Amino acid sequence: MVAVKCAVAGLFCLFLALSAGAQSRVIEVLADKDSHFKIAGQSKPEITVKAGEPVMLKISARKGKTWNRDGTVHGFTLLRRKDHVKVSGWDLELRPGTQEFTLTAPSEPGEYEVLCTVICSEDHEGMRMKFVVLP
Amino acid sequence: MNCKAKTAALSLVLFLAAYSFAKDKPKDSVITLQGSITDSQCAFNVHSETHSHEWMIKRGVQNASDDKSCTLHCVKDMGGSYVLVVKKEIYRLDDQVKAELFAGKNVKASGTLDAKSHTLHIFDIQEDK
Repeated sequence: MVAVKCAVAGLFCLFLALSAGAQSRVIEVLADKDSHFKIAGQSKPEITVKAGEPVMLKISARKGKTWNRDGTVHGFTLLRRKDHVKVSGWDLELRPGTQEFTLTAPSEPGEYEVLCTVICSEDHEGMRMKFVVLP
Repeated sequence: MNCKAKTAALSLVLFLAAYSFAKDKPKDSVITLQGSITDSQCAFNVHSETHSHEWMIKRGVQNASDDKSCTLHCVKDMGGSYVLVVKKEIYRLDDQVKAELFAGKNVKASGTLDAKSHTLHIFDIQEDK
């Protein structure tokens, strides 16, 4: 009887997890070879999410002029703008091609910044993007 | 067998099982490494054959005029992390607060190594003058 209860509970948890995944908003980003983050339809890329919102980042990365020895071509790291503290879980390493990341937006509303953490060209320092968390 | 004897026998079995498990488990040995504290961006990148800050400094990147300032800039302003470079080997560091005190400096660091993540769990770190 206990085994049956555990199985039912497990299936329920699986159902909840799948439901949560299905509800995640998909945000597509291009980490381009010219050391710029790009989002289709935006001349100046910016991501806006709600605090604690589950999101699926679908990031395509293209190799710039330089890259890391392990094959990482760009980084996608989220920092809180006011004090440059890294947001836990938002320190992504990008390899050429498309990768998907299921993440939860920061719980604290405010302005954040996405930075590339791989020296990808002479323009690496400018590879950044505004990220806003709404209450 | 009375109750006391059963308890004693069970305790003995548990003790032997625990002893055997502990004996077989490899203990993490403490290692000491000599190298420099730098940032992940300069250390891992292909532009830097010597894992140094030379490329950044030569380009005149703002706030990166020497090893220390370049390390701090790449971590604090650009989202990197502190790492230990020993010749051509790069070790990630679990204690970023301790590492920051030695940014750009040569150090002697001791700790245990997590081979999977190539991360040094720092026990002690001192400047190597």
